[in-house]
Amino acid sequence: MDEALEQLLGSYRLWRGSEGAVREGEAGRVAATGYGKLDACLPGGGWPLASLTEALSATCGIGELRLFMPALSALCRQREGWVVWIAPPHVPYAPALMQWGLEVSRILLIHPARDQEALWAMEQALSSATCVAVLAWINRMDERTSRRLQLAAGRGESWAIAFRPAAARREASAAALRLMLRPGSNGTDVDLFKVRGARPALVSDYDDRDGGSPLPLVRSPEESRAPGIGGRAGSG
Amino acid sequence: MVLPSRPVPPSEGQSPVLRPGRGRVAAIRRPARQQPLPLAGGEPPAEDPSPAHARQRRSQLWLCVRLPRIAFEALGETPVSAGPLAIMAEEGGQTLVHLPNRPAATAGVRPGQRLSAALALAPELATLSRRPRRERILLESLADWAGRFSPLVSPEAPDALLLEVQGSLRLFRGLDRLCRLVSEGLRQRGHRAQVCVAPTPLAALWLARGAGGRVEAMPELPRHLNPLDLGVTGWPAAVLKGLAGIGVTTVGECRRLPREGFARRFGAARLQALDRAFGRLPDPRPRHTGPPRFREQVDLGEETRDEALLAAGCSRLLASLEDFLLRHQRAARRLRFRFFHLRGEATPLTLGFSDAGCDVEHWRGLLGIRLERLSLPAPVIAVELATGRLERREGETTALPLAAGRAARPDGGLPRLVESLRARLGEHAVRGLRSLAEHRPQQVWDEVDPLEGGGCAGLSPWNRVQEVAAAGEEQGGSLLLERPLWILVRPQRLAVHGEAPCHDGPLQLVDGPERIESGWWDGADTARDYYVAETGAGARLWIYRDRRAPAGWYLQGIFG
Repeated sequence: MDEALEQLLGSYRLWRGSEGAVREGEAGRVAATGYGKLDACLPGGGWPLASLTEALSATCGIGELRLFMPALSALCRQREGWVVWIAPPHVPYAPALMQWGLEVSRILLIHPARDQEALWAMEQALSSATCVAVLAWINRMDERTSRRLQLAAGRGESWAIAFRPAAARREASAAALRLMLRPGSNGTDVDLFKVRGARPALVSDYDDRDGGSPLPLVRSPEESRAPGIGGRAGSG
Repeated sequence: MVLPSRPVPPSEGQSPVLRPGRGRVAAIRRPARQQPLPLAGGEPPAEDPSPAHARQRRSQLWLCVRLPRIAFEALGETPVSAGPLAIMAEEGGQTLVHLPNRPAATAGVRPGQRLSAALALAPELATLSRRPRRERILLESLADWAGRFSPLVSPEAPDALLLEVQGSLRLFRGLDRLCRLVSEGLRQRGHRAQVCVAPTPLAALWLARGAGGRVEAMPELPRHLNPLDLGVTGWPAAVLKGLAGIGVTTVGECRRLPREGFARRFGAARLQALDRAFGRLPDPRPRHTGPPRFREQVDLGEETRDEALLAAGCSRLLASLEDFLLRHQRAARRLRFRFFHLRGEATPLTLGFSDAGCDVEHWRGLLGIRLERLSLPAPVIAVELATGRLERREGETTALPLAAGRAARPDGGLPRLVESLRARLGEHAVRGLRSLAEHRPQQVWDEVDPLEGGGCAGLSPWNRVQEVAAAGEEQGGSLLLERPLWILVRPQRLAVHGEAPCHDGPLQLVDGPERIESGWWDGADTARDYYVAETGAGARLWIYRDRRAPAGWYLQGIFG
């Protein structure tokens, strides 16, 4: 019985819904998010590398950058290359980046004059295969562009993250993972509304802040993997 | 030892060779008697090359490349134009025809005719003036190119190159293949050339000017050279006329004249030239060494704004540059293109690189990006490329593929991305970050050149702070020192309602205060109390209250 099942599952005529761009256990294709609740919802247990991730949010500062920080710092440690920031809304603060574990000497800031130049720079950076991750703040991006960026990320094996306004939810996009950040009752909710290889999910209060207590100072990936980040003893 | 009783013709006295049909075996034959020459300059004649000495001298093989249409090629005009065209040169105050093209030649225009005669023969003749300087530059650039075939290249003005190829025969697997490579290379560069080979340079030159042919060994040389007309020697017209007057019109007949008389009447230089051509005297040639810098110009033929033509012209220049760098084993760090217009100043375009390289493909890509954005005030008629100072080329070492896992990415790719981005977006649009040893949040960061600066300057106090904080956490407490991911370049003043600041609604202070007082020594004195505040929408902000005048609440950063 088991043999027949194995044979069937191994046949090329059967398409499995959980197979996608991400495979479990293949090192380098998935980066652990650092938040236990998110790891459980994402295929492979982490962010899909070598593809495009879209993060939508209505306001700046509700946690959309913090969401990716643990994975970015782990990638920085393992790989060589630039971390490219294209058209950031403000200046990234160097001491904070150091706190999160990113190397400041490998940061590349790009200030293009127009959206078209931003998209061109993103494609160049992704296909050059010298970047660990490319973070871009883009307003308008149509589906064809998102497909090109997805392919470029696959070619160059870099992680592309596009931050877009919340109104972009209604648009179609070829990104492998699309999520929306919303302020929730306890903390920030992450609405994974397009996940390649898994079902959409809603994660409320992704970093378990439990009433606004701040995060601990130095975070290492081993600590972050533990589900739920403990709050602080005492309050301010 | 057999001493010939009568003067042996020079053609037979050269080498100790078995002569079939003579019935006499000469073991060593002394060449013809050499009389001392009454030379005008008083220099001693070169030593008489005995056969033993000739055997000891390393045998040479010279390849001569002659470009009969160099005057046209230097100007950028193809010889096959629609109508008759002639290049005129100034000689002795008169304008004479230097080189006609094919339609003009069929009409009867010959080099050396006066302009009036040429116009009488071909009324619609168009004329161009000769540019000797351009021909010289073209010849030198070809000498650079020819350096890939031979270590000894000697340009022979005005239209020939001499290459010593005896040592290159093995590398190029034979003389035929070498000649074929040379011819094809020249054809690809757009030149019509005649290639001849001979054991001495002067003989190769004369053959190229005359009937052509390939002579590989010295004994065959007289057979090829003797029938050549004396015009190939390039001697002055008076000498040629004098020789024609006594009935001497070919090189062979000239050799049979008595040497002393010939030298006395026509000059010792002519006799020396004959000796050098036939190998009796050595003929050292100056070696061509290219200039240490590269500067070349290409004419586009007509005014144009067409990007394709501009790109093609620049591409040719880059190909030349590649040959030059390869030959001299150099690398370039800066390329300066200049686009010339008919009127006004030339438009410059500079490409600079972070480290000296010789990757012409990459440069071509960068140039393409820059050309798209270049605005030309007028149509372009010529393009020039010059390099800055050239540096020695570093060899590349590759690691053995023994490391497990993914192959290491080449380090050259990191600066290359920055250069590509800068080429399109501008130098100021691509920056890196740097963190300094400071407490004041405004001064602790700085934007720098990503390829030079970046990283932490010195031991930042944050390292120490992190150690202390980690120690504090273990003991059960914790220090409030989390920093926001975003910082505002200029702090934004917040409106105050009652006692509380507000920003998109009232702010709730979550953590604080943290007092930072610093900077009394350089005028940017700060004394601030920093708080972490939360807005109604859930965003977390880093705000401060300034304790110095004007006191107030300001927004410094946003937690990402």
